[in-house]
Amino acid sequence: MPTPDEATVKRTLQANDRDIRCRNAIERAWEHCQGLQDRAWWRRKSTTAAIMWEHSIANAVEALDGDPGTRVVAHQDTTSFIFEDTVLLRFKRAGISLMTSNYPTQLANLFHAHTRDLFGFDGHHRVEIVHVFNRFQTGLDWIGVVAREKKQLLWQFELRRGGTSVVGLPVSDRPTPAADTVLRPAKPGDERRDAEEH
Amino acid sequence: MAASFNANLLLLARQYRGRSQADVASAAGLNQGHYSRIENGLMPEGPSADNVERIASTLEFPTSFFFLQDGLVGLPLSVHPMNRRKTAVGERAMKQIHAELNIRLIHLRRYLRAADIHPELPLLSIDVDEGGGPQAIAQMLRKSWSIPDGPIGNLTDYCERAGILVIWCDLEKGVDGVTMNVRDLPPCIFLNQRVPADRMRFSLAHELGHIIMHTIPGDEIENEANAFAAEFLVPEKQFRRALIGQRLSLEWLARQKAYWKASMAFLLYRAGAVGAVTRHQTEYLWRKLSALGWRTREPQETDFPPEVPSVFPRLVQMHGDDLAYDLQALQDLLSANPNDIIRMYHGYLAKAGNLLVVK
Repeated sequence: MPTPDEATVKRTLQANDRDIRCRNAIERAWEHCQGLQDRAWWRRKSTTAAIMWEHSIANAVEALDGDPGTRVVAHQDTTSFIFEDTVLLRFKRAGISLMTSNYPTQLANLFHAHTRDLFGFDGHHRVEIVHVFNRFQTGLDWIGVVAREKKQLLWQFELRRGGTSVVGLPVSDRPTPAADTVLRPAKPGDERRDAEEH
Repeated sequence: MAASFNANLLLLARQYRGRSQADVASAAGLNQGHYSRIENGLMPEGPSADNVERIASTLEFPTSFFFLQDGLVGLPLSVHPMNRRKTAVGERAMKQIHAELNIRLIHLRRYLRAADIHPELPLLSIDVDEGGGPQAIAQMLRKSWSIPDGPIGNLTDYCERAGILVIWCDLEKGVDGVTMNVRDLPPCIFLNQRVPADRMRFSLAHELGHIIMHTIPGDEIENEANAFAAEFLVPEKQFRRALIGQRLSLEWLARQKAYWKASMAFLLYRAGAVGAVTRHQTEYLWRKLSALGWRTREPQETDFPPEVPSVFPRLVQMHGDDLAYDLQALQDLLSANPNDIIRMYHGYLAKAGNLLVVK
């Protein structure tokens, strides 16, 4: 039951660009949430959090598919990832203090108690990939890995960005700009113009 | 027949430069009385070629500018002093705006020789009383343009498809947008590009209201245009639904801003206006907004990108790209000096390959 070691976790995640894939999974989930028109009137922050989580997991499962060192494990109504049988990772949302706020079930408390094994797996470095929203939940401020010992933050690092990260562009209601159809070159021999020009 | 000297354009050019008669006369080596007679069109034979040359050089306009026969347009409805509650913009600045917009219209006439505007959406013209008031007219326009319920994704695009030219420019602080509706040109909305995107978008909706509803000035035109913009951007019925059972907070306003693409301040005002929240709630949040300085500038995290027009920029670009105009050819076309051309159109000219080689 090791206390999470930053170098080990970093090395394990950087293999096969797992860190970049996980980051992209969260960014894509956020893009999905932004596109949800209903989001403006949702009453609970946890609705966004739940949808973010579902899509982050689905995106990560897809992105890591085919990585022989990755195992996806479902347990206790949640899903985690185990890399090279060394790092056990779960996806969470966190505040600016990087503390996630789980309802304090026994299992939730034990995740960051590294003297105890969990889920029937021994000897893993248990850490979280967290995303932090800005104060208005209109954008992502940070995506990284956090290790805790109970309520104490041990260390954290931001996940690498891929060279081809997805950038959101302003989307027009219509596929082409108005200029493509509204503006047309004048026909040659236009009498009005000829008159004006002379 | 040789074109005659257009004294109105001399006055316009001087106001554009923000200079006094005495200053220009002195710099051009003329007696002020003589200069004044030239500017007022009181010289039956017109000024001498030498004097035109000297004045043109002083005002940094090509002489050809003063022989254009374009008519001038008075102060537009939306910035007319009569309709402005606050006199935030001084008289000299207003004259400069008037001059700048008229010069831009002169340019636009020449640019439009090369292209036609073919609107895809109808541009209604409805009297406020006959249309049932600004709110009803806004709802009618949404239907007419087949805008679905919810926020308008790109208002600029809709306006352009209705044949309105949306043109970004630098206007004085205090003037966010100006409508120029001239007989021989498409309706033009000039937007101050120095203001944040949420304000630009509201100004565009406000100016659209003027185009749709106002052909003659009146005491209520500004209030009517505001009411039109509010309903057009954030329809009351839909907004009320979003407010039911909500606890108004700054976070909630920020989320609504991202959704409706309207400022938090406007949405708070709207929440109060539609009567879905108590006065106590809105007053509390107004105090919070003020204390945080957000009534002047809302937090960066809530910013959204501005809606960039496509039609006018394309019109300018096509002169460089398709018609192979260089800077000299543009000077001849527009009767403008190169610095003014670059200042007004640099964002579009940069993409016109031929123009980059001319310095």
